[in-house]
Amino acid sequence: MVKILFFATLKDIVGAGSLNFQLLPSRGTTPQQVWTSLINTYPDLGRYRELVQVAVNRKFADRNMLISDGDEIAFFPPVSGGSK
Amino acid sequence: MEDRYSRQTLFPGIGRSGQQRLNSSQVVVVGCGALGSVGAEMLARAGVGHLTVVDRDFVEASNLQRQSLFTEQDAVNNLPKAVAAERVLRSINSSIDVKGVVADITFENIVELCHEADLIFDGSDNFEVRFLINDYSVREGVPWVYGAALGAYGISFAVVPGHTPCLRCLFSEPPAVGSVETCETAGILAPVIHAVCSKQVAQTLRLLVGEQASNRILQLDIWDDEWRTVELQGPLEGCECCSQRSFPYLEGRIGSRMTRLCGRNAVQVHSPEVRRIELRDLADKLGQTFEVQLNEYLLRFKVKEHDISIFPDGRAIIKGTDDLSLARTLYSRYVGN
Repeated sequence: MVKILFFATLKDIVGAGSLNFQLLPSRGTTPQQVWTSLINTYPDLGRYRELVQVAVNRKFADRNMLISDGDEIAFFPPVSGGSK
Repeated sequence: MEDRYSRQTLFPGIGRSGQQRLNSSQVVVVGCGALGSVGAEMLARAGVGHLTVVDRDFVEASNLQRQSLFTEQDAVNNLPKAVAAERVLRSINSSIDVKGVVADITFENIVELCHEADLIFDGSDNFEVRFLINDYSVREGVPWVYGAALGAYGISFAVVPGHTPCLRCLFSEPPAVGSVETCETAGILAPVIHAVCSKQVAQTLRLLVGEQASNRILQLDIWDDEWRTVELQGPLEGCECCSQRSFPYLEGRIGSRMTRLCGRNAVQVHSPEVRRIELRDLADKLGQTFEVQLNEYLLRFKVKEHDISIFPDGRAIIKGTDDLSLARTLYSRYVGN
């Protein structure tokens, strides 16, 4: 099980700041695979498909690194306003 | 006013020598909306000796809820924000040099505006300007401090070329136009501005007195009281900006292209990096506030006297003005960055 955290507008789309995600025991999982699976569940996340940044255990991480049980995966969208 | 900085110099991180450094520093605040107002005020009070505030917009009633330098009278007078800001900042601290510049910062004037800057403070409201600032910062080795806020969310980190990741290490390109919310579609709470700005100003002061900036990115939700920092590693290996030193925004190869449409009192705005807009998504967002007409070729709506038409290829035609800077403001406000 890993913990997924959503920030900013991602949180609005998912309707929760965090959720637990069961890793498949058979093979290695990456943040990219988690993200793709989240987009299938929450299609509106697809707007941010290539745009999110990923942090694993509070450090920015490559989307293709391997994650393990107990990790915390956070997804961040770009935020623009300044605001005028 | 010998005492004016006494409480700040007592703080060991600043001290008397730090105060002297602040007094001889130059900061350019790009954009004087909410983050720019709050940031510029703190920097002026802290005694940053040379403060330039650049903004292309004018004060409106809807700014007053959060843009702390402006008054009702400024809105009634349609005063440019840079002019109103300069006046107030001078009355707050007459011992520093304050300059308000009414301008749209572009690749053509950024060198002139920033060549003496020790640091660029981000008070802008769109990614295009931030990517331009980032290019300039990396090319010239001048730090900048990113800040952004939307709804109750805020984000900030300092970019110190060579030490921290740059904006393009994190986000390789600006989000597609219409794909992300703007303050005009998602709203904005004043307290998140102050939270983000506090980090921006603290990191600005650190850098100006010669300390390293934090290498953490702050993300917060002020409404739900969630604050989170994530550690940034060094610059991204292979980053097109800070590793390959490619500066398309600074060289004008990417950026808004705007054309006055002759005799029509209209301006066309076009970002070449925007190839496609999902009109339906944009119509859903804008439809919450405006009466939107949508067909397969364009989306059209009216904001006061301006009639805005948006096309799927990213172009917008804004009728009711021939002012390029105003057209660009409307574009980033209602279409996106």
